[in-house]
Amino acid sequence: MSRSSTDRFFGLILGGVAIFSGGLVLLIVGFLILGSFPILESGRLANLFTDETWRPGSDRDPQFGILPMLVASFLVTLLAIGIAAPLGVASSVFHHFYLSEQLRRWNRRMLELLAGVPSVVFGFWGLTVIVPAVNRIEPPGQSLLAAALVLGLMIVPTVALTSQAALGAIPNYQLLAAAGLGLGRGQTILNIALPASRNGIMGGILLAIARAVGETMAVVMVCGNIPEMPSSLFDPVRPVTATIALEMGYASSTHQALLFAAGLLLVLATGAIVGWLPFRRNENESAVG
Amino acid sequence: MMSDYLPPSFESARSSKITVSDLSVSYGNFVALRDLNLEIPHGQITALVGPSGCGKSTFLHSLNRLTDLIAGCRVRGRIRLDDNLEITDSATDVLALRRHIGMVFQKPNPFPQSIRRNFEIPLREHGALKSEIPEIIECCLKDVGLWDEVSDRLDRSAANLSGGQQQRLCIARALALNPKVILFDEPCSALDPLASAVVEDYIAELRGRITVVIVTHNLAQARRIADRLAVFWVREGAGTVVETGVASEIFKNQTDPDAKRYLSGERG
Repeated sequence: MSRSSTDRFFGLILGGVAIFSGGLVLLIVGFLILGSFPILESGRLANLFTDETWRPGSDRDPQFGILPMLVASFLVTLLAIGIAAPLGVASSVFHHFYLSEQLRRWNRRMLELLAGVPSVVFGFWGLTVIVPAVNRIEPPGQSLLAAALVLGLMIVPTVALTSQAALGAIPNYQLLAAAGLGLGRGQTILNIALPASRNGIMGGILLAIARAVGETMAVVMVCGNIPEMPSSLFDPVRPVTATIALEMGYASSTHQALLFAAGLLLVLATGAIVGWLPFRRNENESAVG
Repeated sequence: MMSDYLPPSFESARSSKITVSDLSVSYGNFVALRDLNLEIPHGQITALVGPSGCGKSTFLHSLNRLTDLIAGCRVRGRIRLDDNLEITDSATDVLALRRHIGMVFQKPNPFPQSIRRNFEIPLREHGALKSEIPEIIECCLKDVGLWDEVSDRLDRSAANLSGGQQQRLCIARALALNPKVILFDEPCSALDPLASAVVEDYIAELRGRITVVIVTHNLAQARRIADRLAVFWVREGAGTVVETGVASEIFKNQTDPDAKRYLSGERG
C-alpha cells in the first residue's frame, strides 16, 4: 500500500470507531425512548408523579408513583455529595499544601486505589459495618443515612483527585506573588488557591454527583429498598437505580416500560450535569483569558 | 489612631539599607552564589547586572527569603536589614519580613480577581484596617499612574488589564504594604518598549522614598535609573559580585576585566 492510501485506511478505521463510540450514547437514549414508548403513548406519564404508591404489576389497581424513588435518589445524592465534597476538597488542600513530595505520591496512590474498589465491596462493607452502626442509633439500619454514608465515602476519591489536579494547575507565578506579599499558608489557600481552582473543583464535584446519581450496587445493599417517601434519615428508601436493578428481571409490558422511563430520567439527569461542565469551562476561560 | 499603613508618599523616607556578608546559596550540589558581599544603601536604586546564570535572581530571592520555597536550597552567610534585623536567621518572621521587603516579578502576576481584591488580600493579611483600605488603594494606584485608567473599574478582573498596566498594578500592590525595600526582578523584560518606559519611569520615582534593588539585562536602563551598580559574574563555578559602586563611575571606569568587557558591550 502507498503511504497516502495507508493514511486514508487508518483515517477511515479511526473515524468509524470514533463515530461509533460517540454515537453509542445516542443509541442508548434511543433504546430507552423506544422501551418507554408504551408509557409515553398511553398518556399516563403524569401518573408517575401523581400516583401515591408504586404497584406497577398489580392487575386490579396499578399505581405508578415514582416520586418517592426520585426523592430518594435526590436525597441520597445530595447527602453523599455533602459528605464527599468537604472531605475531598480538604484532603486535596492538605495534599497540595502540607504534604511532602514523598508522602504526596503515597496519598495519591491510596486515593486511586480507593477509587478502584468495586462498588459491590463498598456495599458489602456498608452492610456489615455502617448498617449495624446506624441500627444502634435507630433501627432498622438499612436507611437513607446508611446509603448516603456509603455512597459519600465512595465518591470522595473522585472529588479529591480532580481537586488535586485543579490545585496543581494553579500557575506557580500566582503562588509566588502570594509568597512575595507575605501571605501565610492559610490566606494563600483561602484567597488565592481555592478561588483560582474553583472551576476545576466544581467540575470534580459535578462528576462525583453524576456518579452518585447512577450508583446502584452499593446502594441496593444498604438502602432498605422500600419504595416509600422517607420522613427521616433513618427510614429505608429505594432510589431509582435500585428499583430498576431489582425489578427489571421480572417486569413485563407496562411495568417494564415504566422502568425504561425511569432509566431515561436518570440518563437525562446525569446528561444535564455532565453537559453543564463544558459550559462552565468555557465561561472560565473567557473570564480569565 | 492611624495604623502604620500610611501610603508611602505621605510619609518621610522609611527606606532601609541592606548589608550582605559572605552570602553563599546552593541548590543541592550546585553552588549558585559564593562569598558574596554587598552594601545596598537606603533610598537609592541599586541595579544588579551581568549575564544570565550568574545568580542575580537567586540573590534577589534570598533578600526576602523566597529561597525558602525552593526544595533543597541552602543559604549560608548573613543578610541584615538596617543593622538590626537578621534576614537569614531562621527565627525571623518571614511573612512580616516580606511585608517590609516587597517584590515585583518578571512576569506581571496580579491575582485573577478584581483590582480591589488584589489590594485587600495582602492588606487584610497584614492587619490594615478595613476603613483605610480605599484610601491606600487610591494613593498607590496614583503612585503608578494607574488611578485615572482604572478608578471606575476597581471591581473588574485585573486579568483584563494590559501587560504594562498589570505590572504597574503589581508595583502598586507592593507599595500598598508600605515596604522599606522593593525588589524588582527584570520588571520590564516581559513588556513592550512603550509600556517598559512607563514602568521604568515609575520605578525611578521611588528614589529617595524606598530602597530599590533591580535586576536588569538592559544596560541602557541601568544607566538611566541606577544610583549604584553591582556587576555579577561567574567565578570558579559560582556567581559573585565582581564590581560595585556608584553607577555613573562604574560605567566610566571598571577595574574588573570581565565587567569592563560586559559594560562596554563586548561580552555577556
